[in-house]
Amino acid sequence: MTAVFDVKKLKEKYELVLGFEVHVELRTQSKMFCECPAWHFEVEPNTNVCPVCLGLPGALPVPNKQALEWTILLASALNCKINKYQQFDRKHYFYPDLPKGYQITQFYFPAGEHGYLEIDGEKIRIRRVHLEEDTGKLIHKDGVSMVNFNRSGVPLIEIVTEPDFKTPEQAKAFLKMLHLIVRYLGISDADLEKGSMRLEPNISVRLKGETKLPDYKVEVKNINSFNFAVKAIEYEFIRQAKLLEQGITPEQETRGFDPASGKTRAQRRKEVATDYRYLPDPDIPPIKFTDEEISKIIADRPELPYERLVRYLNMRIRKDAAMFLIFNKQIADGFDKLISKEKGLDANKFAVFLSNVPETKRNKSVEELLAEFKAKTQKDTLDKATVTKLVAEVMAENPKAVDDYKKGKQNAIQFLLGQFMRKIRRRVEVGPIVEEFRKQLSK
Amino acid sequence: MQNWDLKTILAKLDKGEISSTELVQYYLDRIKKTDVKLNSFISLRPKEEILKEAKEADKQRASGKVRKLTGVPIGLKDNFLAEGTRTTAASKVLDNFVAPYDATAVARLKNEGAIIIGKLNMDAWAHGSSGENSDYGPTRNPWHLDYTPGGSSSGPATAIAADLVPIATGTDTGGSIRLPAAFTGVVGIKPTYGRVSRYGTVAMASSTDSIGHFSKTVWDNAYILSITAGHDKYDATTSKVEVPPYHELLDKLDPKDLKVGIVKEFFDENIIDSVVLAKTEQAIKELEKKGATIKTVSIKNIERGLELYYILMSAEVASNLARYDGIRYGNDRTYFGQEAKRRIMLGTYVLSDVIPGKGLETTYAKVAMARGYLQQEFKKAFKEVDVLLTPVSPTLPFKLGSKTGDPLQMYMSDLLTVTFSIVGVPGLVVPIGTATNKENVKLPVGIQIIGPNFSETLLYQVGKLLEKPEILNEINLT
Amino acid sequence: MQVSDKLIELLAKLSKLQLSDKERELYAAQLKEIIKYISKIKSFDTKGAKPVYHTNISELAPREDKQENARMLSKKKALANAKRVQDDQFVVDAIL
Repeated sequence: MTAVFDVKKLKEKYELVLGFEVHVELRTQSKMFCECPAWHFEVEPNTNVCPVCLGLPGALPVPNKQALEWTILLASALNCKINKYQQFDRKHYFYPDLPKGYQITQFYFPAGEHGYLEIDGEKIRIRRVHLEEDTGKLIHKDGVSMVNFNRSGVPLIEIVTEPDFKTPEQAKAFLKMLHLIVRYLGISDADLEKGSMRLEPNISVRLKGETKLPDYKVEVKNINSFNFAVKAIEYEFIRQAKLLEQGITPEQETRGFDPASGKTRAQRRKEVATDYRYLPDPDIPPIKFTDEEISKIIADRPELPYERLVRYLNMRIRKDAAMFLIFNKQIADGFDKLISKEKGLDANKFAVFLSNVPETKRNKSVEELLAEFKAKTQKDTLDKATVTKLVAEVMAENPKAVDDYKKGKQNAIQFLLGQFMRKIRRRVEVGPIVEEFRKQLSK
Repeated sequence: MQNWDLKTILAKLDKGEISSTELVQYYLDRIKKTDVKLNSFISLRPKEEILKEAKEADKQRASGKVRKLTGVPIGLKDNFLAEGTRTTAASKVLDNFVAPYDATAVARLKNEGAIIIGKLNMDAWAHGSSGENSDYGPTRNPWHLDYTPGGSSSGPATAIAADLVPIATGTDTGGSIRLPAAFTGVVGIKPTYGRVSRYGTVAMASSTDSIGHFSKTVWDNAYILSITAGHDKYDATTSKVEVPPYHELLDKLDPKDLKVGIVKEFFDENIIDSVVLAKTEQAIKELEKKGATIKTVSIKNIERGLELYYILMSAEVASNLARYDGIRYGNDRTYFGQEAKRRIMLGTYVLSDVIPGKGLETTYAKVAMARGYLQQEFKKAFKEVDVLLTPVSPTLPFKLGSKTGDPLQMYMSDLLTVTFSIVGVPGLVVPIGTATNKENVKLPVGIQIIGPNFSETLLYQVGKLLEKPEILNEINLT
Repeated sequence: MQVSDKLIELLAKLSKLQLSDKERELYAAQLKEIIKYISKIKSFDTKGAKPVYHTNISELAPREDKQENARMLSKKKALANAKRVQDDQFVVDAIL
């Protein structure tokens, strides 16, 4: 029996409970626990391996300092409380791409906790930010599965949010900002298609107005774009709402997103209850950061996108132009350079101009674009003699306005300026003209 | 039987009285003749390779290029990875595994010119106290073939006692060097945890695995430790504490300055065989005659080490054996033996959150607290005394097959060694004489010398005062 | 604590071990004894001692982020011990 559902009614009756797990692959030189190169994209299979990342008998992990510092950097950018005491733990499960039969991660003492990001005035809480190692890559071909361990042991930062998202669009905005922050910090390429940034929504549905969290959640994998994330969430919402409508609690499971159909599909169900048997890794002594070390990491942090946004807004740059700039870092960097060099350049106007440059033309250097901007908005500057003469003329031709001004009507000067502009019929710098008017009017 | 110790060998090589080629040939012949009875080796390196290295060593010696172990043959317990050697950890899971790299300890010995003769038998995965858990048959005690040489380093201890190699490496997680050393009458060191790199040795319990070795004498043993010990960038649990030339400091101790502690809890005739106790007390009296002060100390809860150890060790074993899935190397998990399966399941039980009715007491976290507690107790004890002396085993070596029916009974063999493993302190075992058991079989007795962290220098000095390496001459192997 | 056949089954599943019926029976009996023994730890009063997870070293000295070749394995060496290899990768029966 196929029930017929009114999607609109479902959307009125139910609401989304949505959180995200995001993984970011770090662009360190070497892997997390060994000296193999961390770069693995399109490298010949099983050539960036050693006893450690292959999980050979007798191999031992030695943590990468840069990865530890970058995790604190990101956690601080997400307003987390940084843990001075951190630990690596073993998370056990069996899978062919997991060479040791456990993943080394930070379960008990993550790098950062209880952070947040503000998206359009709303706080999205961040539960934790921690460091772990990546697995090998499993591919399926010719009726078998094959494993390549080049990616095994690459450092990963995991960011887990609270289920604070109300809409898929809000999630998209958050993810885009998170992506931007990661790029600004320079710690990862964060390429969704290449998999150096991975998105996993945790989706459940409840009656609108209900405050209790549902007792199930569905994790969705294989999402490699922000738009696909939105699609997957929208699909899941309807799928789960339909089940709930029929009195069925959706199964707690992991599903895979199919980009071709826009649907999610069930993956093989786990038979045994999730039991990772977390064990503090005896091979890795605890990590202890001092206050000074953490302060230094944060002090050396580059300007973050949301800090840059505030800086631009304080410069009175229009919000949409400011947003454009922060999302186009190279252009914004050029913009910042020129603003400090070129005195008299109207920051807002130039920013707006830049935000309107079509995408195809954006590869031009900012200097080139500045030249175009100037050409477009160029105002002549009249010589002083001409200004003095013309101001006197306009005053003589408009005695009533002059009289009004002297009587205290301040905006009479606007009228006089208008008359001046009609006389010369071209764009000129108004500053000096207004000054001359004031001078002569005060006589 | 030649029965040369390493010091003698080095002197003879130095003087040219013997060549490395002759030396190596002697051991290979002996192994061929004797090991069929003992089963101490799992595999030997190809004869041609060994002889080639010996020849090369002789050449180097002739041209004056002599390192600390040039041309000296050694044996490796089969849980040490040595590049190009079959490394099984005595388990069928790794029956066909050829190590693609050297353990750090092995590399350090090789760098000093040592020649690896072969890989020595052990309890599979180092799980055992008698060598009977080997998938390649048990090793037999050279003192009497019906008896166990102890475990898990059954092969290494036997090879030294039977003069098959002068030096053999071993590992000690709960007593696996100390017990076989006592059962075969040789010297065995379990260094401080973190003194010698674990990189390249098959992990058993990562927080107590200690890398050590066997020899005939204390001097030999100290000499080898000065080579293998020291910080390793590949092992984050190794210590940066300096490594002294242990063998050069052996005579620097005046016994009159020595305060020896007798652990009250371990000198209980209800748990220790009277013959063992008598022999141990005799050795202590001899030390007292030399001027040492003997004091009784009490370390509360020291005898609880066994419970703690089996919780901690099984949890870490279950974790460390998770990588053996047969995909990248070895055979799949159906090849695990009984003891391994038992310990893996016990460890899974300890670590699991999904066992209904399981109490919080048998958790890894509780053991961590016990370790903290015991470390404090030991600190207190070492304020009063310099070293502790204890028997090594509650009994004399036992017959093969006498404890295999009851796993718990077998675990009891470790009673006197495990607590020291948990706390991390070093332990040296030296032979102190022989005793006859109820079946009129003459068997060796050892003594355990325990000191604070990184006190190996002192342990060796005390060991030098106590050792009786001559008892090996009483072995009658036809 | 009941050490039943069912518990052994669960432990075997979690540890990816296959047991015969005979083995299951044997281990149930043995583990019952062992678990009873280790449960004695309940009476060990650790008097609020601080937990020590790492035996003799209290702080990690991490490694500088540098690539080094010394330990890297050639593709040949990396694959040498595997039973099943295809396209220079390790092979398992199809997952999913």
